Amino acid sequence: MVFKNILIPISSEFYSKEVFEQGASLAERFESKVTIEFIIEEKTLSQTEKRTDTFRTRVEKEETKQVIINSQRQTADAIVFVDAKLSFESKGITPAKKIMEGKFSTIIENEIKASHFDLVLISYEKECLLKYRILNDIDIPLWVTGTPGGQTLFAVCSNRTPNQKVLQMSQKLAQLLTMDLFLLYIVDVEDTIAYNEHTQRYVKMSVTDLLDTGQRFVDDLQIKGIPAHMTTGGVEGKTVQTAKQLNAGLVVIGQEPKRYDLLGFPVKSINHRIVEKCKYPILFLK
Amino acid sequence: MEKASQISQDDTLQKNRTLTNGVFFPKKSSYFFMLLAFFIVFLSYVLPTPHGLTREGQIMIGILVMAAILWITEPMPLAVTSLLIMILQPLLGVMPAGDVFASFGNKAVFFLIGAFILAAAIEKHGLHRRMALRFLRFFENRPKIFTLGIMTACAFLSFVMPEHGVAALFLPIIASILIATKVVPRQSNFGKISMLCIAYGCSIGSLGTLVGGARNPLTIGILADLTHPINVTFFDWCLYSMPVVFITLPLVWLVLIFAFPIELKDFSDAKKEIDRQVTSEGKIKIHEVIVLGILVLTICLWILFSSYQYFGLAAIAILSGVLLFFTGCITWGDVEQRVPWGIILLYGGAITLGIGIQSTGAGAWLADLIFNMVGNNLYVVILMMILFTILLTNVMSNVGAVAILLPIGIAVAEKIGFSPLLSSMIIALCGGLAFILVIGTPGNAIAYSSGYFSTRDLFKAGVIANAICIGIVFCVAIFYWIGILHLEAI
Repeated sequence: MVFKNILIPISSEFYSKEVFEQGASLAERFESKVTIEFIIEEKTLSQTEKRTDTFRTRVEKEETKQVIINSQRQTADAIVFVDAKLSFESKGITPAKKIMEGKFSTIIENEIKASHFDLVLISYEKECLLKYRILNDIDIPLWVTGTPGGQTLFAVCSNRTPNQKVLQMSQKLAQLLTMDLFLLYIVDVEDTIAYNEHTQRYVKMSVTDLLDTGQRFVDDLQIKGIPAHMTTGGVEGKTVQTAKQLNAGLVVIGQEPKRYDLLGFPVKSINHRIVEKCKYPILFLK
Repeated sequence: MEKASQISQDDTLQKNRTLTNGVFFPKKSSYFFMLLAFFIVFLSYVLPTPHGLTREGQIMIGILVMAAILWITEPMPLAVTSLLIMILQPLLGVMPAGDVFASFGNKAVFFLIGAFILAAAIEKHGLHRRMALRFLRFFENRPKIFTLGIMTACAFLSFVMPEHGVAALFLPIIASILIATKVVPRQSNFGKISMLCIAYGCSIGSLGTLVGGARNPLTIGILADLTHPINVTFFDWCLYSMPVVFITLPLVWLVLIFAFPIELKDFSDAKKEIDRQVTSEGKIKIHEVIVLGILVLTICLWILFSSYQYFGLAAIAILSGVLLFFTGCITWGDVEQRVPWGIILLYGGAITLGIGIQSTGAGAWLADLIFNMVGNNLYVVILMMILFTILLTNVMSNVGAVAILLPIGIAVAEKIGFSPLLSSMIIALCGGLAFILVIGTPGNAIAYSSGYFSTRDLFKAGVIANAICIGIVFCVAIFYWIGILHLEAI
């Protein structure tokens, strides 16, 4: 089975029922165990504390923090877990439930270390204080919910993302989910770097070399009998555009590792940009 | 509660710091902003003085810019920036240390202390919760009216206690009502409006009296310390500000109602929850009655006898504090727990900044600059003051924004030839209208922590509400303050 143990983390900053509907459907398909974690987001607590600093005493700030935590716990019990129960019980699944307090991405990382999860399912909301660091840092597959389109599994390979697992997982999932596989290799001519899967580092390459590499990749697949296509352009732009044209049921793409600019500040990854623009479900693989 | 990571309380308090070997160090960006701020002070100290500006004035402008950078980016607590403002003035030879620290003798500081003791007693005995629930009961018939009730209740309570205390009080009350009605966070417009009404109601109410926000006593403190002092009583303040409150409140509520049409039809569960909460409060206790009595007495004294020839605001505030001790309603332990001394320091820094800018002629020089850019048209100047204050207060602490803009506003008023009272009222009231960002006010952050609205919802409602507020304050300034009260001539 592909995903035996699914973790569904819900941030107190953003909740959408959609995550349970897709979670229930996946868990039913893969006969998975499901754990739902409601995370009382540290960032909102600290932001509140920071804003009230100077204006409120330590005791008052602690009281307010407890009030927020209690309200969030009530919301989790009375609304979120009730919705989860309705979604999962109709499929005969009883998920485990937890309430945690801390940073969204840190908690997910700790949970993955502590338990043997093989998929994390989240819903994404741009208008949050939460920055979803997990989109770059996770070692296991990360499924971001969206509106499922038709029956096409759109697998994206490129010079900027790791591709090995995308290929394997896409074939497997297309078979299990009875979807048509459409594999596209995007040569990103806007950012002429290539990800080396062995050294796990980026190397600068010329456009010609990138095109050659892409062509070899596609040719190799075609020799193996896997239909693949190649195109040039920005990874996120082409991915979003093609997903729309295909009315994708699922987009599978390699997770771009964290990158920094010359001043040492993190660069907004294509993972974030794709999630913000693409309305279809996306599976990120490292 | 399971804790994901062992985070000490200090960790959350020191947001801008990272932990290394058990010692907290500021983040890289914090160092950058601190260095930038100090570099500007250094430049103001070493650069040649432009024509028309004194050397002390130039240094004061450097300190003003430093304060703006540090209050906006907050690499250190707001109160520490205030201490820095105070010590830099004698260190750089702008003003003698005695004069700087004498600012703490200002009556408004003691008014603040008294008001905080009163608020501490109200909070200790839960009188604010009882008042809030009783008030909400009048509005429990329909969801739409209920949201107006939340906003009005928050505003009214912010007349008698600090706005952030009111926001912290209303969060659990409204959250439990929303949970009872089973509305889904972020998806329900009723949830969004209810929480936004807390944030906006507290902000609007805080304009009404001198108690709601610390920027109000700061304003009257600076006005009282001018070369030609202007004394504003509690009643005067209410007289000037209440029209803004009572026009803004329903209009901002209408903005929310139109921006997020309420979907909730059945309100019976909410009614039950309000009734349950009212019942759980039980009968009013003797200490609550005493605190209520002292509160009413204090407000009456403030309204009737806070003018210069009577007792003054501070004496009445301290008297009510002492009465609370005499009646056993409050202990010194409560005061230690509930009076935020940091705000007193913040106030001290802000007032010395205002005095320094004025006494060194820096304000007049800045006013000249502004005068050359905007001209001397009264209406344009008023509009610019409103716009700039609202813009600044949305990205930094309200008190900080008012502290930075007041000395400039006062100088501009003197330059153009109208009373500093008019410019001060504009800046002080607009300083409380931070509706757009989570970081704008503590009330916004507290309401946002509920999870019922997004940053985009706040932005959307806040931009429209702020645009309306610009129009309201402008009209009140022209037709009421100038047209009826003639504030420009005081």
